[in-house]
Amino acid sequence: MEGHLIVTQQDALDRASYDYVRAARAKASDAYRLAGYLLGDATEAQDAVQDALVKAWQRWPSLRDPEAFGPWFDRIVVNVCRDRMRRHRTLRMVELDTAGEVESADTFASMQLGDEVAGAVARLGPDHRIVIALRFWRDLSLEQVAETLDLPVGTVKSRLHYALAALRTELKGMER
Amino acid sequence: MKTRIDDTELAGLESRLRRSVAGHAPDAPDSLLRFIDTVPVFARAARRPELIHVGLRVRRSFVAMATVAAVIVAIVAAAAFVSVRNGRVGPTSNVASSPSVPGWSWQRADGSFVERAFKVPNGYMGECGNPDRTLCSSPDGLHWTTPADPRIVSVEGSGQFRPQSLAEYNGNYVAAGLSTDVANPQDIPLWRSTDGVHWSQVASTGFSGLIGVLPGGFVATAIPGQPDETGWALTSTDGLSWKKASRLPVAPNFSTVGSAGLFVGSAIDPTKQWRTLDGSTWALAETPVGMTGVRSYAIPGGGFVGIGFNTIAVGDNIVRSVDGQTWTADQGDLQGVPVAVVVVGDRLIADVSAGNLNSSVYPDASAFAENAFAVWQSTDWGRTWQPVVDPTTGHQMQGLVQSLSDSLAVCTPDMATTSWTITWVGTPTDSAMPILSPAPATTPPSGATSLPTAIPSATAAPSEPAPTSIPIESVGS
Repeated sequence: MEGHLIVTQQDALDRASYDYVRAARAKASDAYRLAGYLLGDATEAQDAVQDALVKAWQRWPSLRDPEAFGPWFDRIVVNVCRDRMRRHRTLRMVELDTAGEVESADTFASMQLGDEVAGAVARLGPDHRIVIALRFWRDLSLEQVAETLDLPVGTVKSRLHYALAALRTELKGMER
Repeated sequence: MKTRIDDTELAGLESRLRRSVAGHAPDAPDSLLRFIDTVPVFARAARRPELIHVGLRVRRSFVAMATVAAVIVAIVAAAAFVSVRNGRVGPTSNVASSPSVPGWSWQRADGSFVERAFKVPNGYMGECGNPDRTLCSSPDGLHWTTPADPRIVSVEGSGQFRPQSLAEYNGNYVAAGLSTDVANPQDIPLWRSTDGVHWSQVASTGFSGLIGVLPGGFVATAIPGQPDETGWALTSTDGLSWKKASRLPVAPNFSTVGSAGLFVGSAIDPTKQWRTLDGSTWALAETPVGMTGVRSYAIPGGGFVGIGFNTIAVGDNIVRSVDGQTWTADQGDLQGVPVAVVVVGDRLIADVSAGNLNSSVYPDASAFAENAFAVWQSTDWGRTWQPVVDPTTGHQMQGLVQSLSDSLAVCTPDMATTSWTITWVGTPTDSAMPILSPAPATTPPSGATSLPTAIPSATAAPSEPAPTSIPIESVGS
C-alpha cells in the first residue's frame, strides 16, 4: 500500500513514529466509526479523526504505555468531536429529494435518516450523544466509558440515565 | 418513591439503540490510513517529498492546516503587538509592569494529587490519588494525608464517602457523593454532617448529585421517577428531611445552583434556562447564545457574576446580570478565552491558555507542555484583570487553578501520570473587592460580547401543579 512507503523508510523514522503509526492504524476504523456516529457525516468524521491523529502525535511522548493507546486516543477523538458538535449545533439539513442520494453515499448520514432511534440520538446534546455512542454503539462497559471520558463512573451513569430519558422523550414526541 | 426507569422500557430502548447501528460500521477509508502514515513526518518537517504521494484530500488538509496556522500566527502577532503597546507581554506578564497588583501569601504544597477539595471547619477534605481516588484531608491545604485525619473528616457507618460537591446552611452540611452502585447508577449518595467533621449517609434515593443553597435552605435535584417525568427540585432546611418542592420544568441537560438561584436547562433549546429561588416557583431566564451552566456569585452591592461553559466557543465564559434573570457575556479586559474561572474569597481567578484549548481538554496535564496556563485575577468581579505572581520568579504564575474557598491552589502537571498536583497554595492578603454598582458599564470593556440585553418577561413554567410538601420516601438515617 502506498502509505506504507513512508513507515518502511526506517532510516528516516524513529521508533516512536513506527509505534505511533502502528497503533493509530490499528484503531483508525474504531475511531472513524465513533466520530461518524457522533457527527453523522462521513466527511466530518474523517476530518475529526485527522485532527485527533495530529493531537495524538503531539502528545505521544506523554503516553507511557502504548497498550493504553485505544482509550487514550478515543478520549482525544471524543474531545475533538465534542468541539465540532458544539461549533456546529445546527442539525444537518438534507433536502427531501436528495435524501436518498445522501443515504447511499454516507453510511452515517443514512443511519440517522433511516433509523428513528439514531435520528433521535442526533438531536441530543453533545454529552448525551457521547455516552450513548460509547455505551451502545461502541459497546463499552460503564467503566470503559468512564475511563474514556476521564469521568467518575457515577457521573457516567447519571449522564447516561439523563441521556436515555431525553432520548425517550424525543421518541415519544415523534410518535405523536 | 420510584426513581428508576422502567426496566422493561429501558431494555427495549437499549435494544433499539444497539440494533440501530447494525449495517453501519464502515472501516476507515484508505485516505485516512495514508494520512496516519504522514503525521509523524509532517510534524518533523515539510521537506519530505513523500508527502506528495498522499491523496488529494490529505494534501488539502495540510493546506488548510497551514493556512490556519498562518492565520493564527498573524492573530497572535497582532495580539502581541497590542499587548506590548498596552504594557503586557504575551499570554503571561512580568509583574514588574503591574505596580498595583493585589498581594498573596504563598506557601509550597506537598505535590499531592487532589481532586475536588472542599473547605470544612477543621481544614480541607478531598479526593487524593491517581487513578484510585480515596477520601483525604489536610489541615492547611498544603499537606494531604490518606486516609483522612478523623479530626478533619470522619465517616460514620458504611459506604465510601467521595465528596463531589458541598453545601452548608445554618451549621448543617450536605455533600453529594459518588455512586458506586452499578445496579442503580442514577442514585447519587447524599451525605450529611452537623459539624462538618462527622459524616453519615442520608438514607434516600434519587438524588442527581446537584446540591446547593437557596435563601430558604438546601436545594437538590432528583432524577425522574417515571419515563415521562422531568425530575424534581427537593428542598430541606437540615439536610436530613427532604421534600419535593416542584417538578423540574424541563428534563435537565444541565443544572447549576448559586447565588442567583437554581437553574436547569434542556438540550432542546440551550438558550433557555429555568430559574427558581425557592425550589417551587420557576421563571424562564434568557442566557447568552451558547451559554449554559451558570455558576452564579452575588456581587456585594447588587448584581451577579456567572461562570459557565460556552457551548459554541471554547472555554469558560463570564457573564453578568443585574437581576439574575437576564445575562450578558462580559469578561472585562481579560484577553483570551479562559479555560477555567474560579472564585477565591472575593476574587475571580482565571486560567488563560496560550493555545487553543478548551475545558474538555485541559484536565489532561500533557496539554500543559504546549499550552501553559497563565493565572489572572480580578478584584472587581471580572471587569479588570491583573496577573497573579509566582513568588519565586516574579513572573506570572502558571498552572491549573483550584479554589479552596478562601485560598487558591495552583496545580502543575505531573507528566508521568498526566495529572495535576498542587504546588502552591495562596491566600489573598489585600482588602476585599470594592463594592460595585449593579448598573452595567456604559462603555463595554474590551472583550465584552454584544448580546441581547432585553429582560424577558418571566413566564410560568409549564409544569404540573407543584406539590409543596411531599415527603420524599426513605428520608432520614
